Amino acid sequence: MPQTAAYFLLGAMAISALPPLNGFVSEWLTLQAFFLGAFNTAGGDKLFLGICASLLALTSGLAAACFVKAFGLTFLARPRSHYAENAKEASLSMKAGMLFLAILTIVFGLAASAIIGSLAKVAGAVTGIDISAMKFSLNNITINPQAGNGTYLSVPLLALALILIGLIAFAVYKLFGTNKTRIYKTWDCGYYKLDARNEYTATAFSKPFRIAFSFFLRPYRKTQKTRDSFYHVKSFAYETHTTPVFIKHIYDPMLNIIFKLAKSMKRIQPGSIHLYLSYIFLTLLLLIVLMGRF
Amino acid sequence: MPEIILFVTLVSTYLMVIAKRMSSLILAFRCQSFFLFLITLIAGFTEKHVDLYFVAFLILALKVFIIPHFLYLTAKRINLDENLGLFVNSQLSLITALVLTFFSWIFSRRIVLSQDYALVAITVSFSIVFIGAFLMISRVKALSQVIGLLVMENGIFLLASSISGGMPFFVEIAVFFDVFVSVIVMGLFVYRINKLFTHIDVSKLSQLKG
Amino acid sequence: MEKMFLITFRLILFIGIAPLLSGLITRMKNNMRMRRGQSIFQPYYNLIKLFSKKEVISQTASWIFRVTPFVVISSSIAAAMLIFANHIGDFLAVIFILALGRFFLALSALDTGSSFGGMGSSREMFISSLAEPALLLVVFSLFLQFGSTSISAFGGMHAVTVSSVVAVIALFLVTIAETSRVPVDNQETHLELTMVHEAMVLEYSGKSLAMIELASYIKQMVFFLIIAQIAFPAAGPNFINLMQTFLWFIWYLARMVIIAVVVALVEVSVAKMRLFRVADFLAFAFVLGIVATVCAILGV
Repeated sequence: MPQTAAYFLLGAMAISALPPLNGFVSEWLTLQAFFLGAFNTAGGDKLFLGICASLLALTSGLAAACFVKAFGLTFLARPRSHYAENAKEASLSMKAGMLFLAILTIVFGLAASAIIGSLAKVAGAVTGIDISAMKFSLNNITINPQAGNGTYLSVPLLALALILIGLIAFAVYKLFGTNKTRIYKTWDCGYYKLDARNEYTATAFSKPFRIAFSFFLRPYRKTQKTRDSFYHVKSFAYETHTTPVFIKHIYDPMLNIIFKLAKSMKRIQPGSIHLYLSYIFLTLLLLIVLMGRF
Repeated sequence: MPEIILFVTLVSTYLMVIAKRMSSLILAFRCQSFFLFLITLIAGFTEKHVDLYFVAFLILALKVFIIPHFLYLTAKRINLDENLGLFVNSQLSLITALVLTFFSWIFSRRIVLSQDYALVAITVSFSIVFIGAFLMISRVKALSQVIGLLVMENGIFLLASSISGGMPFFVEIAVFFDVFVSVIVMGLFVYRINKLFTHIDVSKLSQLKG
Repeated sequence: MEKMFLITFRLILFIGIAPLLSGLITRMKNNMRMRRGQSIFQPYYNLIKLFSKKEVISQTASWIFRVTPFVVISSSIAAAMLIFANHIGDFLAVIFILALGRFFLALSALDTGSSFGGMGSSREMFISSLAEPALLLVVFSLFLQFGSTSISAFGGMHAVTVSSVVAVIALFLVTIAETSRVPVDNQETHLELTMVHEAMVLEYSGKSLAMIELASYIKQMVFFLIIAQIAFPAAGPNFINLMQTFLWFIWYLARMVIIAVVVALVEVSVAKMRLFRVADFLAFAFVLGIVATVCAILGV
């Protein structure tokens, strides 16, 4: 699915805050907001803002890892299941939606300094701050979050530099040295039957994260051995799970409380029509009695 | 003169409350509607509203003759057991009706400060409304709920016609039409309920629960 | 226009010196191990040799495998350019541009379908996602001290405070993680238990490998230059006064050599850490970043 993969790659790059797409501009602006906000706060709050900024960087690093995994294991290397092998390209309507969003990520990234003015107006209206005197972009290609502070970001120039240097590198690649390439098998350490089952999977890719964050994820495993005799294990099933912490400790207790409350309120609904009519009548009486009081 | 007729209307409502059979309930309802007709006539005479005469005769036609006859027919068609199921026995029902009358008297005292015809009229009409609701709650059979609704409608109409010159004409015609149609529909429903369950004992229709 | 010419000149100088620095570190390590070691120009010879080698590309590789060397080298050179061209980006932009190269390198490692590549990219994304918070706290402490995240803020002459010293130590630890040096990763090994960066580039050969190697030299030089700017400040080159430019160039090389000596010492004296202890190592860098921030807040 070449086109779907291309659009997915653009989306993944945008989420992982890679230049020159819109995610990078957003992340940069958020970090600048954290930093510049530290000018207006006292000591402890400055540290707090710094730690918030570093946690934001942690999430962007984890997001990049997640999308390397998602894109790489879905679209790259040998297909890992027969569904992947027989996959067909999506229909035009689905591709059109993805293409539109991919183009938007590029446009919002490159035209950021032009768009930032209009977005700042919205922010000013919501927070009630008068922004008519503030200018967030220097000229049409550079963002300058706080005038007077020497911090600039120019995404179009950055993209231009990336493309130029890439083209020069490509020219050097083509001009110098030998141009012969040979297509051969992947290095297999001498094992002759390398197939899709030898490739990395998502569970394997995320293992370092499961171990590093095991204080929170609490992974556990279930194994099951089927034996022929004591010495011969016929098959071995291995399952690994992470404990769903939020579901187990926050959502399930909350839902249980709500269900218990609802069940206890079922008692006013025994099914007798006369009782329901008397509810109405009593409410009417109550309203009439209390009508004069309010 | 009108106060006496109001008083007699209230008495006929008490008769409905102590009725133990379906036919006596319907008979008391006819009495009440007849006295309502008389009140409306008198009101039309004093207020000099031509509409009220028309409305009064409409009451006579519908509520004294047509609707009770229709209720009799329905009761006969479904071979109704004469026994009108009572949740609250007739003595206690009468005491409750008296208490409700007292409540409505206190309420009308709050609204009208002088001791005149308006006080009596509001007391009687509100007590008729409350007693109609009480009938709906404390009687088992489905037909008695229809009659309770009709009684409530009587009470509201009584309030309108004895205090002011009646509601605007179109409103009254519309209300009559609604009542008529709803009685017919409810009669049909009662027939169908009986066909399905072979009884119209509402206390046994208890599926609508949580 | 003149600025662009200056930037290009400094950039070419930068790219030219980058492999020399790596060769210097390798020579010093070998000398400390009581060996004679290779010539300090060996990286240049390696690059030239790789350009004359035929490339072998895996059957399962897609266009990402072929595009990645260009993306990686352009991201490294753009990061180097951002150090000089402050009107295009600041320190944060440098971090994110290097992340671009790393993203594509990790993807290309998964592209070949070998377990080495998957393992390398998994470990590399793990280490980099843990290094980012520490790096950002260092940037924050520099921001508090100098008032802006632009590299020109600490590019010139400035005072060396306790905060900048602690920030330099934290930045040094993060540099070790980002440039794949012992104790985080070993560049001289091809044992699967011990390689991270090498595992990702295992399938590359010929000119592509040359470009990726050059990109990693440049990335290393970028980090070293930033550390040098903070730890050993000096005014920028004034190309009009030739004597001053010459002295600046000597001091530039001298700072790099000092940092290279420290790196070589660290590499020789410490053993490579287990992967899951790298998390503790980077947590220590994070704590140092917090200390640097507190010192900057206190104004020390």
